[in-house]
Amino acid sequence: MSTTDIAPEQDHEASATASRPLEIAFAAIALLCSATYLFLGTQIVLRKEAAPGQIDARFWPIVLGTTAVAIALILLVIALSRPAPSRDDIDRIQPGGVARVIVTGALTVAFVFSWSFSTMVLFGYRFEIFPIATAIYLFLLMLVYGHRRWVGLIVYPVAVTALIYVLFGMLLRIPL
Amino acid sequence: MNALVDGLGALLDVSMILYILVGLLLGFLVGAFPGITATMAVALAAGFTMTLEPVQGLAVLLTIYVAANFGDRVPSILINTPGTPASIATTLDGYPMAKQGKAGLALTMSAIVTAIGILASLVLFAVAAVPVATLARDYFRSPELFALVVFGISIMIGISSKSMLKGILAGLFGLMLGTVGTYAATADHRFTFGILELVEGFNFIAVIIGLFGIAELFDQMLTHHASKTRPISSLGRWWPSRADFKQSRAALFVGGGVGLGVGLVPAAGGDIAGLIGWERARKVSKHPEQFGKGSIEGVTAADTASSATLGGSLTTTMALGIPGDSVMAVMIGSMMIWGITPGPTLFSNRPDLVVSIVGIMLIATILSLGLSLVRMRGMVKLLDVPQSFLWPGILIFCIIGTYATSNSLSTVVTMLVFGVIGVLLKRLSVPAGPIVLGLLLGPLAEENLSRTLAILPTRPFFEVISPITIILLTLAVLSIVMPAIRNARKPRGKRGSLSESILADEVVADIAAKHSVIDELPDPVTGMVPIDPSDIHSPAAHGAGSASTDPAVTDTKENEQ
Repeated sequence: MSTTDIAPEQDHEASATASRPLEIAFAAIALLCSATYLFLGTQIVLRKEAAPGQIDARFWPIVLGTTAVAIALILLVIALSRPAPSRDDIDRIQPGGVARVIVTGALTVAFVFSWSFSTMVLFGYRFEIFPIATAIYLFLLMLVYGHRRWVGLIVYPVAVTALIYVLFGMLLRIPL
Repeated sequence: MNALVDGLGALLDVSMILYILVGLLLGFLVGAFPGITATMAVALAAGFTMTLEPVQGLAVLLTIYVAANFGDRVPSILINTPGTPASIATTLDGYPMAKQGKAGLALTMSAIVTAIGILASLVLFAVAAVPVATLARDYFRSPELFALVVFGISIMIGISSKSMLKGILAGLFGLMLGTVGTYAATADHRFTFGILELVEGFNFIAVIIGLFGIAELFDQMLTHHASKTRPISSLGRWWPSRADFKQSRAALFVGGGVGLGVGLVPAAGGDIAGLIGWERARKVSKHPEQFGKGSIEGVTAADTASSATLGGSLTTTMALGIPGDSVMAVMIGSMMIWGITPGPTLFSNRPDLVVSIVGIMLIATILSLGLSLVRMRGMVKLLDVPQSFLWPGILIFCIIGTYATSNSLSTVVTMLVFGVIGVLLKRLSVPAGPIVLGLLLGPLAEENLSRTLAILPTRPFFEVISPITIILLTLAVLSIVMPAIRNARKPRGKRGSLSESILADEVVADIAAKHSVIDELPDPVTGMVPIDPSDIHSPAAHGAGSASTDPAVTDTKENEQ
């Protein structure tokens, strides 16, 4: 699968469009998260009460949570009552962009998951998972990003994997 | 004298050359690839330098910081895209110069003035760091330190945010993240939910690699499109003539002055200094009409100003513990892991570090200048590296770098989570800088607030709350209120962060008009100067265009670094 689709030229130049629902959703989520944090802050278990004049482990989180709730509320009111601000400084998402990120995320999660099994036994031999998983991971990522030349698809993942394995695994002795 | 000997002695190790060369290579690569910021690279390298001795680690990180300031000028000049946000202002005159067949001249001049800017700023650091630290050590107690942290976070919010409310929320989010883990005063656990990995709080390196590395990468994947722009390969003459140097002298001084001043303001980086320096130089120039058309004075002013911020930001970082820019925020995190806490007591405890830092940056600057002058032609080829090689490489090194900090996959998961959060926040115009600063300085703020509140009832109010505290808190309020007022006065569609508001609307329109004319010129093929800049028609006749170089719409990633 390739996700290097090319959008029409005019789409490339444009920045992201202003979106009121997006602003409202952001403010609502910020309010929800702040309120949850504030609530959890009041529930912090204290080993002992703070001495007079001193602050306990709840004080600072409650100050932060209360302030965040207030700011998120103001942001929500503004998002509901005013036009959405421009997003000139943000590039527009290109066709294929979201798919590229989702596939990258999925491959990365799969890579980390496979890495968690440090070794496997196949045909009576013990293999280290990390170098194999890394080379396959890089190969698939390059494929996703549109690379189609076989030499590059083979040489680059193998070379990078070897570099990482030798440098970090063998020289720096990081347990990969 | 001992500090001088110790500081220099630390640099005499043969391995230091190796670390500086590694930093030099990485810094140049980072600068040359648009979209990879110096902050991202330093965050990534921080994961790998943890096991080194502090001075060795600093050699890698500081050299990346210096070399990126040289490398990022190359894409600015040759493809009209800043290599890092610090070189945004270089595109204003650098690219027009390249289109006129003067790319080599622009690259050489840029490298020379960048070196001059950094060296001047190093003098500032060497002279000012110890007195500033001594002053802070003698007069800063808990109330002042709390106020200093509030000021640092506030000014980061004021500078980096388009919407102050979103910036404040970002700062609060960072401070909230800083509360996760064990409360130092009483050893109570907060927000750990019984998870062992959270008892010591979030892994700082994982958070910054997530917010600055993965988030930036994901955003590039979202917005990337096949570009028709090819680097200008005909570079023309390289060495500036005596007349070029003479013409650029005023711009050099103006840019240098601006850069040294801006560098001392916490959170203000090279992007802001470059734009202010370019604008100031335009005002004092005998030929202001040439600015934006390919003026060598414009390149000189922009690059001197942006590079002269390095010493100032290093001073506030090391002497006060408040990051001078986003790269320095990451650097503080790395230093804390090494057991070195930047701040007023650093130079009393480790005076040799000033000498070592100056030495590293001096060597890095000289080597970077040499490499710039010798290998700039080869750097052009780097601009053609396809994303299908670049993205997987960055991704795997982000993962390995994060894993190396704790040898635990949970840290990698933390990084990925913060990468996703980071890209969502970026799409919503929420700056990452205040989050990192909040996470970094939150525990310090809480600790000093706690002490202040403990001593407040025992002494008269104004004996505890000194004028320094009041001034810092007032400045903190002003740093958020003033940009908010400035934005409120503008029409809704024209509001922006500080760096987007430096150039007046008419100047931006003028540059856009000049660049639209420049864009229509064919790429130089002979290496000779094909046109005279004065032949370019009046901007008024051409309307706005060239969105990619318009500073008002250029993404100000410096503050996210």
